[in-house]
Amino acid sequence: MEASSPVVTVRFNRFLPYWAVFQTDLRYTLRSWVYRLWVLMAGLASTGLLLYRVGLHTEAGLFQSAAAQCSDVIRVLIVGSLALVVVLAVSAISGERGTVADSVLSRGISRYQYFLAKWHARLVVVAATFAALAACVLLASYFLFNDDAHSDLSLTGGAAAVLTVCAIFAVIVSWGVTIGALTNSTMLGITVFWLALYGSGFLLTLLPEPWPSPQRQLARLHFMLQGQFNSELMTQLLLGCAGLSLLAAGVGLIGFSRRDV
Amino acid sequence: MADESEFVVETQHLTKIYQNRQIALNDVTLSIEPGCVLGLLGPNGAGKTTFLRLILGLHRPTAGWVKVFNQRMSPNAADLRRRIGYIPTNPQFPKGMTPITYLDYIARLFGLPADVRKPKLATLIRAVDLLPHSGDAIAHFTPGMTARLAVAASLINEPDLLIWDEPTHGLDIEARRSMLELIKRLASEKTLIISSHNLSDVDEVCNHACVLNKGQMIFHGSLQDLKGRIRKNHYEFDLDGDQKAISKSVQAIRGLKDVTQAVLRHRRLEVKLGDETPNALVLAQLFQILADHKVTLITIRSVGMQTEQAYLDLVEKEEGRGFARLYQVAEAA
Repeated sequence: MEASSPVVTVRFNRFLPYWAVFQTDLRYTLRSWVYRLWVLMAGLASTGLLLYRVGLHTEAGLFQSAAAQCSDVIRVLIVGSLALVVVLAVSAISGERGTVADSVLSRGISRYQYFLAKWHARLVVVAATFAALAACVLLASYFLFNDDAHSDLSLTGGAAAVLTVCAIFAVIVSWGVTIGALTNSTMLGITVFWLALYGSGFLLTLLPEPWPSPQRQLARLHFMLQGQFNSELMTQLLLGCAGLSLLAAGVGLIGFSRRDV
Repeated sequence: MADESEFVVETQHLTKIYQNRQIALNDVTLSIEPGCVLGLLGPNGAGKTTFLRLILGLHRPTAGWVKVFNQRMSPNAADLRRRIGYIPTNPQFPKGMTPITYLDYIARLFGLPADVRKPKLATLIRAVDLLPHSGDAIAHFTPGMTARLAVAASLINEPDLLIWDEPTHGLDIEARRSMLELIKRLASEKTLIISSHNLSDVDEVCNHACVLNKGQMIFHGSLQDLKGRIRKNHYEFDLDGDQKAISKSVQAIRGLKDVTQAVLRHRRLEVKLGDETPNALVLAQLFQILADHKVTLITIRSVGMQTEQAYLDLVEKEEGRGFARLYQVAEAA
């Protein structure tokens, strides 16, 4: 005798596709050679520079404040990370176009969810990784230059500096993902983004205070690490970064949902 | 005429032009009813894949529209795609995944909760015979195993509409046979659109056909209609018996009024009848002659695949139309 099969109504979870793409992208980004190269290079460069400065400090007796040492290392970290962060951001969507994007976007996921998941995954990876690297540098500086740190490095300043740099990276990642979603190939996307990045950096350099030019912001790191920063200006900068990131996401969402894959 | 709401897929003046450079699809209007197994035919570059991608919302039409389950398809129509199972021509899989992780990922993309997707994926892995390889990396799979995994992925959401782009592409004979059997089984409960270059596959599993050529639809209807467009009346007979008797019977067959050609090569007789000749009557006379001469008939076959011939005729006819193609749409309608 056959058992009658009960009628099962499957309730779809609308957020599950977003989570699936988010988690998968997070996992694959962390395994990617670009990410590993970034972490490896950043780690080696920071360690090397820190040890060199420690050597100068202890053996040669050259004195430099802990905040200055730390800001130099973080500056190297930022400049060195930029190229690989751009690659990570632009390749988020363009890297899958024509290959696995088909098998994802032909399922029950909207373009909006796909874009948001990719954007959020890359934001989390870049921001968390940079924050972790910078925290390691701050901690190492604190212990290696212990005598000066008591008077020089500030916990609030360190947190503010890391937050500011992460906010700027968020803008870079957001526009990178958007440009990757709107261009036909990763190489084209990276080229376009580099031009836009250099162009906007150059324009900001020409603008007067309080416009945040890259040079001025990097020079201010030293003072920020000492806890000397204008919280109002910093709030404005963070809000500006959030606005620019959201603008990028908006452009990306609309543009990507109107494109062929 | 079927009511509008009965169509699974409906397109109206569907046109796709890529970056103002290439016309991939030109004014395609068709409707697909539930239970239909549509074979999408056409030479390379005819617009088959573009057509399928437009149905799936992977591409946006330049003009016209696509409705799936009576709703407009768009890149954000996730609800509609939940009812579709798709296999691309060369399925690509994320690196490092196993069949279990891949199917779980695909099921999550459809929004299936864990208590539904986990038993489902286990059943499908068993059904497509990938159980021994369920923990292996997909990157090391053979084309046959990849195809089976793609089939499982396309069925995980229990879709009402299946869109399979060249499902037998690159498969060996055994895998191809399994695929065709699966299609036949699925055809009883689902609507299928199958793009294929292999006309014998289409002939075997489809009940409707749509022929595209250079982006234009030149035929849409039942497979019987497509076959009915040609009557080649070209047959081959394998004979057995005394050679003299065979030769005499061939002489007699040549004497029949409606036989335009009768050529004997060893013991194989090739016979062509007039295009408009009612074949049953002439074949009856031919069998009678063979019987009178005590010649044994071993096999008889119609030369060339009828579907293939009809398809080639259609494409050839279309090529030869010149500017008369302007009136193609009206005639097709």
